[in-house]
Amino acid sequence: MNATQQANNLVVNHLPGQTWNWLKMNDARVAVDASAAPLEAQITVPEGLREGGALVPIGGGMGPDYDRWIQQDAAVKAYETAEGQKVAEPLKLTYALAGGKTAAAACRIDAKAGSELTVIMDFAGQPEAQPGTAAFSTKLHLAAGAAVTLVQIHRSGAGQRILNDVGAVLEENAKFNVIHLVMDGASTYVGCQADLKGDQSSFNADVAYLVQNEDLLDTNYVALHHGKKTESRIISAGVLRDRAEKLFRGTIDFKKGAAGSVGNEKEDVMLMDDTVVNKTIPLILCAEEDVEGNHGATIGKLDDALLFYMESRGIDVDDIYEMIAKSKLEAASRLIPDQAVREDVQDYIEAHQVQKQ
Amino acid sequence: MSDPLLKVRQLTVNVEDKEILHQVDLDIAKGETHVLMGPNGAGKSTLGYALMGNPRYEVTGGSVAFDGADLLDESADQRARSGLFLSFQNPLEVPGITLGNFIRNAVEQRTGERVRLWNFRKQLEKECEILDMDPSYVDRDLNVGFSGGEKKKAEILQLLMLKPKLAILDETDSGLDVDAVRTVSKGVEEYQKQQDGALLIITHNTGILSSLKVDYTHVLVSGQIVGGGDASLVDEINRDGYEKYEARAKAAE
Repeated sequence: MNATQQANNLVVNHLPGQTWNWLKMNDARVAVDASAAPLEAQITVPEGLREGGALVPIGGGMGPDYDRWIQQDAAVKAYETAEGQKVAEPLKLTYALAGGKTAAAACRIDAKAGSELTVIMDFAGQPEAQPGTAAFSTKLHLAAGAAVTLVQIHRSGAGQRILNDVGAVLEENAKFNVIHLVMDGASTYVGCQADLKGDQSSFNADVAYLVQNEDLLDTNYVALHHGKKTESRIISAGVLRDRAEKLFRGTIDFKKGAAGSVGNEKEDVMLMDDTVVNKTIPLILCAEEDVEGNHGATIGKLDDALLFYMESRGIDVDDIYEMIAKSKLEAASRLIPDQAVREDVQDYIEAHQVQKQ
Repeated sequence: MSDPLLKVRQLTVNVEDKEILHQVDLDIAKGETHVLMGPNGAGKSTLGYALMGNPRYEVTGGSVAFDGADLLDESADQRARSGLFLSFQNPLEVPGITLGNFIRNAVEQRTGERVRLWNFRKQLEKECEILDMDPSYVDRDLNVGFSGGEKKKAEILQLLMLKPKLAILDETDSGLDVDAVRTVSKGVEEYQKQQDGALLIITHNTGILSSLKVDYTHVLVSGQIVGGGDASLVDEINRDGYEKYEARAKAAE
């Protein structure tokens, strides 16, 4: 890209509470084209799900810079459930990424009170794709008692840059589950924010990734606890190898009035090579006394006892690491509620993702 | 007599610079069942771990030949591929890897051949039946959330699928109720029948031996083998304890 094409420098994945600037972890700077081509999806709409629905602006994990930029050109799809509607089949959006010019797509979901919906988005790289940038924005409003599961599968292939923003507002008793599987991509930026506005609303994020070669993964997960007795759980598990770099930001923000709320975040990272760069910022902010926030992290190499147990079955060390790497993605893939997609993803993991160099 | 399958000579093993096993000799021929008994802390598990090649257990002297090759030159995974198996006293949990996938991978490594999934699943189900094991365990993460009994059954399931030449069972019967011990014993008997497999059974009780024909019993005290005999020795020790053997070990120091 030349200088005129890359006219915008966006500040994305901004950490809600700042740390030392010299750590270069407070946010990420992303240069993007001034404009993007609309990226259309191949869509399978389940029976009974309506197109349409107007949403008020909803913040996402990538932040306002990104919102302004993507709203200009993205191809927008919007869907709404009816009150109390349990949509049995998932809404599937497959984005075929061919690379080349920057492309953008947005999706809006308005889940009415008591409704249930699963949304599966597949960011799928095409064979022989050119290097390129694909940008996504998914915003959701979950009315009282609504439950939405959002699955986003990153398998864009080598050379692609993916920008992926998710933002949700949850009313009373709403439940929002996010499953993020990041299997490849030259650089991937994921921001995901859930505003737990209503009492007893809950947010779950299960994130699994494999970052290898010289690829980059930069993430920002934020749970904003506004309502009383709200719950959040952010679980991230992944593998870094070669000269890959990963930055995980996980924030649980208890706002004043969020009494009785609980937030948990846990990270499990396996480092396969000494040359990887792994950065993590767990952040728990409290403006309310009666809350519980927990953070745990396991970062490192395989435990010696576990390694010996597996070796004692005839599996050599390299293969054990391969198996463990694959297992992180497979464990998350098992959470995909749609069997066909789940099997497809597992085949992809088997065939493409974890191979001996 | 031809060379035994396992030939241990003057084996000395240290753990964290402390000598635990002192010049142990042991021969096990193909298809034979040996029992290793001894009080707690005698070094029984150390022998199992050292033979399997756990790097925490440093061999400082002696030799071990397995199937004609020098075992001590090989890493743990090579020893397993040569046909040695260790059933762990406390099997480890491996989140994210199902029992079925783990065994499939191990079988492929052991045989050097790609496993046909359909045949593999049929075989697994058959072995699960022998062990009175719910086949759904095969699709669960290895040992994660398994009860003590299910973990031990999972070990024997691996034994049946991997078909080693020699299996070391390290207190596989510990912590199991009577029915579970009987089931595990049935699985071990099946391994013997199918493979003419040799066994070194580390145990404190006779339950696991109920359906097996024991060829030799060894008594290990304070890191030394201080006694041996036929199957009747198991009953004798259960009746009289280790006092006599502890005195022998002391005298030998």
